[in-house]
Order: sequence, then structure tokens, then C-alpha cells
Amino acid sequence: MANESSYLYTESHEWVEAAGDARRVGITDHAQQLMGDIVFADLPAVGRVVKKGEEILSIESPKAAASVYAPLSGEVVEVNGDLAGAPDTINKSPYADGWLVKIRPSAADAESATLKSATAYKEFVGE
Amino acid sequence: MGEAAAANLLRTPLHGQHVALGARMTPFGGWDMPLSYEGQLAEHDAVRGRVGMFDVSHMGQVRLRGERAAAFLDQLTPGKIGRLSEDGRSVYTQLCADDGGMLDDLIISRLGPAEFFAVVNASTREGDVRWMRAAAERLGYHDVSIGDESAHWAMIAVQGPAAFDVLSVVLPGRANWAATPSFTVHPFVYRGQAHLLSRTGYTGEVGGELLCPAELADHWWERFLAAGVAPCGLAARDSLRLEAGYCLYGNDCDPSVSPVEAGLSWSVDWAKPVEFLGRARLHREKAEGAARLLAGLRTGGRRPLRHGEDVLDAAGAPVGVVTSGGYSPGLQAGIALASVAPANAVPGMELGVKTRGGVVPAQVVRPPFVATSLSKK
Repeated sequence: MANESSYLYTESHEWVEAAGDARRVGITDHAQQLMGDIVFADLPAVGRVVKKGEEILSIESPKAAASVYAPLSGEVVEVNGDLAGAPDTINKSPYADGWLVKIRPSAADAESATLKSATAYKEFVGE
Repeated sequence: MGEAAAANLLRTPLHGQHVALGARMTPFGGWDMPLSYEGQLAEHDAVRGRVGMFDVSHMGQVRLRGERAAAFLDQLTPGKIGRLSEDGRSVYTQLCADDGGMLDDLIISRLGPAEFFAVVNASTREGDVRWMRAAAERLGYHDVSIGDESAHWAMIAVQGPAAFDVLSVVLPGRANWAATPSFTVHPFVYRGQAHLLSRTGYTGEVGGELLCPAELADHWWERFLAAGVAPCGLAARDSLRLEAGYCLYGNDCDPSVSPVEAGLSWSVDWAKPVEFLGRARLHREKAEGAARLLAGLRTGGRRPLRHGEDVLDAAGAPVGVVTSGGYSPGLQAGIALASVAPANAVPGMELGVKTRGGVVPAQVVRPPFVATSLSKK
């Protein structure tokens, strides 16, 4: 059961959840609704080192391609391999089974402070 | 989209139905049209598997009348107008400029020996009517009248393997629509008003397109809904027509592209003796080969191909461009129509498409990309 009210959020519609010493990253329900039916996720290689704000992957629906940006700097330690055969999981379960990558953050405390709370994100998207 | 911008868009007679069904609306050629209702993939599957309907009331309807109307159409278009030898027959053809470039593609039906009915694309309608009238003038067909009836008509496409069951239940009079041939048109009267059921569509599935007066659009839409027909939006319409390999005017063809280049040579009447508009270029391209051809491309992965992406040969040299790209739900693969050098338009050839994620291998295939109820007939 996803507990997205405890997640942190970016203005580019990613969410971040603490998962041990790593952070799980996905896109928000708002973002998946804007995309429509997601048919492809271009997942990054495990081991890739990313900077906060850098494009880490793209998600595509028949009508649109959207970039997903790293909400935190760090190393990609795991990707959601189930998405290769079932990218629509992102539509069906954006906050749980539709997660995208896990990042082991290099500066979690400093950077997390720049992310939004669930309440602040909801206000941001006008929900 | 803001409300101020939406206010400038045209609305079909079925706009209220789309809003009531909760459709996602999108601007399309100056019209506020439904992009999807339940979701693109579900709507796509409904049409491939059973039956769906599309509001295509934005399309234009033009009536041509006159004893010499058939002769005019023979000269106006490269198409097989000679096939319109009986009332109720339809042909697919193009409007070409004098240089052979495509101004539009259209379906022309014969309603009577001196009466023809054309359905044209929405965004090109006004230019088409001007072009037809100017052509009649300069080619000496002053006695052919050309009436734009687009404001009068609404149009609902009912498509899918179960379309005939629905049409036979909903429409009055005729019980067995499955027995009517493709590319025929059937007039009928309902509530004292003229209707047409055209045995055409743009999904690759069997079915028809109902032309009704605008004020009866709600009536028929609701009857089809009650009969279990899935309302489908432009997004599904695009993936269905792309899987069927049909070109989309404005994407795959435009005034710079000839019907030969667009892969439409099959629709040209090569034997007709008249000097139809664009004849010199079309015959030259048929004899000497065109500079480019529309080819089908199929990838092995799910990434949708996109309009404008470069097509590369095996050595990585650019050989063309994607004109319609997308995702095929039937193949679960990226597919495209691409304009490529003729040497590369050979089925089986391995090419590449330069996507945002790198070069994706793609094989040249002859559309349709998937088997449909129409292709299996």
C-alpha cells in the first residue's frame, strides 16, 4: 500500500520515497494522467551516477514523450524491470508498482530540503 | 488550454456529447475535438475487437451537380472516376495542384448521373472548395455547381468487426449491411431528412460512416451509445489508421508530395486519356520513378516512433524522415510511415530511426501493419 502523503515531490512531478539507504523515484498520479496511456519507459543503466535535475529517463505514450529528472544526486542502484513488459503499470499504480528507479543519494539531507511535501505539491498542481 | 483559447475553436454538433462523456478535448485543425474518453488503448482495442465510433463531423462535404460533373471530376482528380458508372459507388482520390502536389485527399460518391458528393478533410475544406470552383471556371465547366454543405452535415464513423450488427439494429430499413460492398454509399430518409451511410472508414476495420443532418447528430450518437458502441477519440483514430497504413493529409502528404510519392499510385487512373490536373508529374514519376516513397517501418521495441525523426540506412546515412510515427497496440512495437529514397523503400530492408533514445533498428514492411477485419476480407 503506497503512502504517498509521506513522499517528497518535485515541481517536475517526480516523487521520492525513502527505501533504506536508497530513495525510490516515480512520477505522480497527476503526471501519469497528463501522459495518457504509457507504452514505453526508457530506463537508465544501473550504476549510472546522476545529478539532481538531470534527465534520467523518458516515458512515452502514443502522443507524448516526457523526461523524468533526477530529484536527487546519486547513483542508480536499481530499476523497475517489470516496466519493460508492462509500462502501463505506471498508469495503474504510479505510487507503488509503477516506481521507476532507486537512487542512492550522495547529498540526501541538503537536497531533500528543496523538495515539496505532499501538501505543498498538491497546492502546486492545484488539486 | 485556457478557456479564452478554447472559445475560438469550432465545435461539432456532438461537442456536448463529448463533454458529457468526460472526454479529454484537444484542438485539431481549428476544432475542439475529443482526444480520448476512456483511454486511447482501450478505444483502439474496442475498434479492433468489437465496434467503436468517432465524431468526424469536422470533415467537409461538397456536392457537385451538373450534366458534366463526372467529366469535371475526371479532369479535376487523378482518380478512377470511371468507376462511378452507377449511383451509390464511391472512389478514393486526391485533389492535385497543376504541379501534381496534393492539396487534399477525398472520397467522391455518385448520388445520381449528374450529382456527386465529396467528403474532404477539415483543415483543407475552404481551400478545396475555392480550388474546385477555380478549376471549374478555368477548365470551362461553368455549368457544374459546387456547393459546400459542411455546416449542414454531422458525420459519425462506426467501425469494427461488429459494426454491421450495430448498423443493422440502429439504422432503419436495411437489415444486412454486411452484404453491401465497401466503397458504396446508401441514401435513406429518416424523420423526413436525407441521410447517407457510406461504406467507408479510416481504421482498417469494416463499418460505415453515417452522414446525418446536424440536428439529428445527438439522436444517432445516443442510439449508437445505447447499442454498446464505444466512443473513441482522435488518439485512437490515429493509431488505428497508422496500423492500417493509411496516410494522413498534413503529415504524410502535403502540397509538395505527389500521390505517387505518397504510395497512392493504386488510386490513380493511369489509362484515362484526359489531361487531369497534375498529370505530367504523375506520369513522369510512374515512368522514371519518384524522388521518394512512403514506406512502412516496424521496430522490435515498444518505443513509439515520432513524426520528424530521421531514417538512416545500415551505414547510418540519412535516407528519409518519419512522416507518421506511433505505437502499434497490435504489435506492441513502434511503427511509422516514412518518406524515404526509393532504393530504401524495399520490404525486408533493415533501416534505423534516430529517436531521442538513440538509433532504433527498423524493418521496411508493406502496410497494413496488422491484420484487420478489412484486410482479412
